Amino acid sequence: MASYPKAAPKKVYYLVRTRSLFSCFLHWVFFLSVVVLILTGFYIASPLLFHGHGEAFQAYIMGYARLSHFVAATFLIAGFALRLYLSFFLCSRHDILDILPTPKNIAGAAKLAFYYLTFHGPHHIYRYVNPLGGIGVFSLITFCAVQIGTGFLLYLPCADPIFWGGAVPLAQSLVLKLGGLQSVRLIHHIVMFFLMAFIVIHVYLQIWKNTMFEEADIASIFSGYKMFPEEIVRVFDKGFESYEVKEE
Amino acid sequence: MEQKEFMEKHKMLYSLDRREFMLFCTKIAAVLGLAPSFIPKIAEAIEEGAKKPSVIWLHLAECTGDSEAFIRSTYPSIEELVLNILSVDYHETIMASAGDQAEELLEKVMRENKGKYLAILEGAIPTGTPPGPGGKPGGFLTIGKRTGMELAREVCSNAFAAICVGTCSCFGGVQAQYPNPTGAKGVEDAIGVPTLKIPGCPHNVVNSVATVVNFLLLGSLPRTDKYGRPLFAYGKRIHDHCPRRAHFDAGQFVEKFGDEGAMNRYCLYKMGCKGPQTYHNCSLAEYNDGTSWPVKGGHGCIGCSEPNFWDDMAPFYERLPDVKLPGVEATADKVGFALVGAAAAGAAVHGAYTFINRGKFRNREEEKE
Ligand code: HEM
Ligand code: HEM
Ligand code: SF4
Repeated sequence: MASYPKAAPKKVYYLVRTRSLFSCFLHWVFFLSVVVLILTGFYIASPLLFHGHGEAFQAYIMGYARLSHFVAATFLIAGFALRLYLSFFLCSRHDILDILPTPKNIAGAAKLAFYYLTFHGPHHIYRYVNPLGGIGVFSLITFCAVQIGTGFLLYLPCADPIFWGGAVPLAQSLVLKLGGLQSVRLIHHIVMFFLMAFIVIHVYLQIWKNTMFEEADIASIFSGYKMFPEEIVRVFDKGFESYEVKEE
Repeated sequence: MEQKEFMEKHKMLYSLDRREFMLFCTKIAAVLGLAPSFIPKIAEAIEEGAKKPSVIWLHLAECTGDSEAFIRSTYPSIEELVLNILSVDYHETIMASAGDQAEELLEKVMRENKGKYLAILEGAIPTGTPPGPGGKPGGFLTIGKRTGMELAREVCSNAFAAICVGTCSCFGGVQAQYPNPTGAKGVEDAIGVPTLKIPGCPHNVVNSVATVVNFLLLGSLPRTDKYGRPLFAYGKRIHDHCPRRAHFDAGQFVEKFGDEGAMNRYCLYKMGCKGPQTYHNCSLAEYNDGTSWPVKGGHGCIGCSEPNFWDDMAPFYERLPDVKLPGVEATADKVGFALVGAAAAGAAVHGAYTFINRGKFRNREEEKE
C-alpha cells in the first residue's frame, strides 16, 4: 500500500489591527497629494507638453498647474498636521517611535536589511511598521517637510500680504539665509527627485514584502489589518510588538 | 497752497520748464508709491536749496556703469541733480579737480559736512591681499595711496548715510564671481558699515533719485527689506508686475529666440528668465527714462539686482543653476533622474536577486514549519 505523506496541519492566520482606518485614509491623502504635486511640479519646472492656444486670456494652463499645486499642497499640509496630531495625542501608542531613526530602530533596520539581502541571520517580524520601512517612511516624511518649508518660501513672495501679514517678511529673512529665491527653488526642485526615489523604494519594498512573506502587509494600508500566523499572534497578544525568528 | 499759485511760483525756476519739472515730481511720487497730494511737497522739498545735501561719490572696483546711468538722467537733468538738488562735491569721473587737489577736496568735504553728507558708493571692495612684496589687505584697489577698504571705511563712517548704487557695491558683483581672486565683497560685507542698497546692473537712476527725494522730504532713508534694499523699488518681484505675465499663466512661452512665440511677446520663462526670483521694479520704472528694460526688449531677466546673481543665476539661459558635485557638474534634472534611476535599478537588482534565490529562501521558510 502506498503511503502518502501526512497532510501538513493547516496553518491558521488571524487578522491583527495595525492602524486605524483614519490613518489609512491619511496615507492615501498623502499619496494623492504627492502625486499631484510631482506632476504639477514637473510642469511648473519645465512646461513641456501643454501650451496655451489663442490669446493669453483664453488659456490658463500654468495658472491651473500652479493652482493645483497649491491645492494639493494644502491637502498635504493638512494630512501632515493631522497625522502628527494623531500620533502625538490621539493614539494610545506613539507610533511616531516606529519611524524615528532611534538607535533601536537603526539596529533593527540593519538586521532586517542584512536578512533581506542574504536570508541569513536572526530577524524580527513586526506588528506595526518595521524599522527598515520606518526609516524609508521617515525619509519620505522629511522630504515632504522640506518641500512644505521651501514651498512656502516660494509661495509667500507672491501671496496676499494682508492675509499672510508678518509671515512675508519672516519668509524673506529665511530666504536670505538660504541664499535667495533661486537657491530655494533649486532645493525644492532637487528634493522632489529624492522624494521620487524614495517613493520607488517604498512602493517596491511594500510589494516585495507582500510577495515574499507570509504576513500580508500591503492590505494593511487599505483595511488597517495585517494577517499573521497563530504563533505570532500569540506573541503579539502578550504585548510584544515583534516576533523573533532565530537563525537555526 | 493753491495748485495754481504754486505753479506760478515755481515757474521757470529750473532749466526744465515747469511741466517737465512737475512730470518728474509725479514720476518720483509714483516710484515711491505716494499719493498725488505729495507731488507739490516733493517739488518743494527739491527746491529748498538750503537743504541740498553734500554728496561724496566713491568709485571702487567697478565699470562706472552706475555713473553712466546717473549722468543720463533727464528728469531731472544731470546738472540739476549734481548742482541744485544734491551738491555732488566729490565724484572722480565728473569733477574737474585731480591728483592732490582732489584728495584735499575729499578731506575738506568730509571735515566740513561731518555726519551730514551722503556717501554714495559704486563698486565692490577687494579685500584680498595681492601676492608679491608690499601687498597689503585690500591692495588690489588703491586710490591716492589708500586701499579701497580704508577709503570706504573713512568716508562711510563719517557720513549721515551710506548708499550703495549698483550690484557691485551692494553685493560684490561680477568681480566677486567664483573663485573671486581679489576677494571682492559688497561694501557692507567688506567694512561692516550698514548701507542702503540700490542694486541693479546698472541701478535705475529713478530709484536713487527717489531715495534722495525721500531723504529730502523726510530727513530719513526709505524703509528697506532684509537686504537693505528700499521696499518701494524692491518690494515685489519682476514676475509680479511683468507685462508678459499673462502669457506665463496661459502657458505660452518663447521656446527659442526669434520664434513665433517671441514675435507674440510670450513669456521668457523657458529662456531662463529669472523674473520669478528677482526683486526689482524694472517693469514699472523701466530704464533710460522709461524707454525699455530687458524683458520688454525680448530677453529674459538675469536677476542682476539679487545677491550672488553672478553665480546663482547662471547659466542665464537655463532656469536653474547646475548642481556641482565633486567631479561632476550637471543640470539638476540629470542628477535627479540619475537618482531615481539608481533607486529603480537598485529595486530591480534586488528583485531579480531575491527571485533567483527564492528557492533557498522559500525552503528556509518551509524548513521551519
Ligand atoms: C502605490 C503606492 C503606495 C503603496 C502601495 C504604499 C503602501 C504602504 C504600506 C503598505 C504602508 C504600511 C507600512 C506598514 O504599516 O508596515 C505604507 C506606509 C506609509 N506610506 Fe505608503 N504606499 C504608497 C505610496 C506612498 C506615497 C506616495 C507616500 C508619500 C510620499 C507614502 C507614504 C507613506 C507613509 C508616510 C507611511 C507611514 C504611514 C503612517 O504611519 O501613517 N506612501 N505605505
Ligand atoms: C511633495 C511635495 C512637492 C513637490 C514634489 C513639489 C515640486 C515642485 C517643483 C518641481 C516645482 C518647480 C520648481 C522649479 O523648477 O522651479 C515646484 C514649484 C513650486 N512649489 Fe512645489 N512641490 C511640493 C510641495 C509644495 C508645497 C507644500 C508648497 C507650498 C505652498 C509648494 C509650493 C510651490 C511653489 C510656490 C512653487 C513655485 C511656483 C511658481 O513660482 O510658479 N510646493 N514645486
Ligand atoms: S518674462 Fe520672466 S518675469 Fe515676465 S512673466 Fe515670464 S518669467 Fe515672469
